[in-house]
Amino acid sequence: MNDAPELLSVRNLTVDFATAEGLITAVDNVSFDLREGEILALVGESGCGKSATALALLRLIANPPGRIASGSVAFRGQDLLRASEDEIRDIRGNRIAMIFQEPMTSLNPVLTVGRQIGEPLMLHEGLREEALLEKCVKLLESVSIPEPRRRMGGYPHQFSGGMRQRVMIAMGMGCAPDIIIADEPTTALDVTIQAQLLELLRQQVETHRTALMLITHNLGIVARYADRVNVMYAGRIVESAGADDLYERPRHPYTIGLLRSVPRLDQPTAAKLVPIPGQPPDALRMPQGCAFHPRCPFAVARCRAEAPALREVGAGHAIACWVDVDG
Amino acid sequence: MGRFIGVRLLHALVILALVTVLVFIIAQLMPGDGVLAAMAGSIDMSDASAVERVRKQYGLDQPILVQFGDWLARFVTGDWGTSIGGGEKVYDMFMRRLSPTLELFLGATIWSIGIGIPAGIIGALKRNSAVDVALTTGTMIGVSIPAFWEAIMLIYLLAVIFPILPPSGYVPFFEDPWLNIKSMLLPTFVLGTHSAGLLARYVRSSLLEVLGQDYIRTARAKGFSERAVIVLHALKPAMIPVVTVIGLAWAHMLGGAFFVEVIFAIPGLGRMSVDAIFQKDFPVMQATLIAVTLNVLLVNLLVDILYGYLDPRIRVRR
Ligand SMILES: Nc1ncnc2c1ncn2[C@@H]1O[C@H](COP(=O)(O)OP(=O)(O)OP(=O)(O)O)[C@@H](O)[C@H]1O
Ligand SMILES: [Mg+2]
Repeated sequence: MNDAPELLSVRNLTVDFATAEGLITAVDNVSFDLREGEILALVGESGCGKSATALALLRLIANPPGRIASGSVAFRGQDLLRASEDEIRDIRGNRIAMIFQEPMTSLNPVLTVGRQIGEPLMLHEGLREEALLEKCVKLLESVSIPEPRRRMGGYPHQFSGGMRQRVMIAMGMGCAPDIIIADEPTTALDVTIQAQLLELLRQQVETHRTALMLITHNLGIVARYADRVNVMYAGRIVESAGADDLYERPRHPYTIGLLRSVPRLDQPTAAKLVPIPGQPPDALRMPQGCAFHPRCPFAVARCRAEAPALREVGAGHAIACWVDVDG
Repeated sequence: MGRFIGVRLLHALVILALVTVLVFIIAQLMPGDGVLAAMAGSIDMSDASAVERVRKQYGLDQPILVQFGDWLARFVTGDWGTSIGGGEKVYDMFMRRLSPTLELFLGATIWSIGIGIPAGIIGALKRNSAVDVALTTGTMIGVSIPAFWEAIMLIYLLAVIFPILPPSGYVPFFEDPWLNIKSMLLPTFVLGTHSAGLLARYVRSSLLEVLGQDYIRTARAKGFSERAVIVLHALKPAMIPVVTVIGLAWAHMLGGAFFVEVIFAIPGLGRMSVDAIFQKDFPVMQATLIAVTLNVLLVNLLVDILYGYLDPRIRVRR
């Protein structure tokens, strides 16, 4: 799959937020690629910059307080960060769709669900009336909403959290986008619905060669669905590898810690869970050098002075660490 | 939705009934015998039979419940008694003065919506720009300017220095529509200024709040233009709290109407009710009190209905 055509190429993306206390660099020099038919997971603790990265791709960072400070996002060769308003609007919801983290607040409470699902189709495909209605019903059916025709006239508050998230997914899939960015599409849902929705997204990827960027902090989901994984810490990608490779041979101390802190099915149940000591750094007081060094058991003098860049340590496996702990 | 309106209507009726009782009781509790006090000049108070005759004439010798029943029955059938001051039928008097005041209220509301809502929207969209600062300043002035002073300044400017508008007076619309509109421009503007400023503020902050919501980001992520996002996704939810403000402004207009009616010599209800208070003209007072209640209840009902239309969550709640 590594030879599939590249769809999205992100280079040196940096996102700032100007807060009352000072400037926060939420995304710091992030680079990665996304290929056709690939499921790329973006994992990391809360606040590490996953959502900010996703929003920046479509220039949806709220400004103020946010700002894309630098970088480029090439989608099929077109730089989205430098595209005109019209050009980027043509891509949003059409070629690149986003499924948001908060199903309870991401749907407009005063508009019917049918209308909200239909909007991208109306806008980008010019569908109207019968054709639009039929397509919406199909979409709702595909995400297993019962009685879709009747449900179209309902309002978000009449839907459960799980159903709303399914509506969001249906909304994102409407225009058969090239890329779906799903920001924790299944947090706060029970496990069966979670699996159902992820299956649905996987089907979409398989049948339409859609690329899926899956943001999550659930490592179980990553192991099961992702092809590649980018591990983020304090605004940076600290490790990037194929999913299997990452689970077998994690090489960044943070990833190693992360994998040790959650239960795994592929290891004896006796394996002890070890939480990573300490807290993620305060975005306003980033430590000198590598942001992880205060929590890192392997830190050396250089880690305190200089932030490491991503470097290749194996085929398709890169880490941002001075010490290669593996082996 | 029908059920929701039904419940609201029932509420309104209960409140109306309570207010009717209250209005009646208050009249009973007024120090002195209202009728007699008002008649003091015209009859000889030491003549017991004359006093008795007057009390009989107004039914003041009956038991209180009977008096209330009689009064209510008469009131509902449009017999609101005669004004103690002028001897005119209160119902006729009220109806004659209703249309200028209604026109005043309507005109003022049109001004305040016509100015307040666009000003609020522009302020929100251009927040912290020079335009926003100018609008906010204008809003502050609109909210805090005393009505009588504003009226005098406007009369001076638009009727004296540049005599485009009549300084005062009222002509019914059906007599001379053009003159009616011309003479109502200033009074309605003065009455609407305060609520225009209030509305602008509420619209601005409400729209700003809505624009920060997650679902607006969803709309942007669909590829809508900024204008479409506002028109299709932001305005409707932003109007929900604003509707309440419009309703409240309308309900509170009678107080302002008094000043405006006096300054512009408009024969309306505001003036009539204040005169009635000073003259202890209690049939007129009762009628105005009930009219004010009815006005507030009707407006609240309308606001509730609009609320239900704007916010589908309300329709099921209760
Ligand atoms: N609107 C904003 N204003 C100020 N700071 C913000 C804003 N949005 C995000 N940030 C900051 O940017 C950083 C990254 O936030 P982001 O939402 O991307 O985290 P995340 O990885 O998605 O976390 P989570 O798993 O909780 O969703 C955080 O430090 C956060 O405080
Ligand atoms: Mg997030």
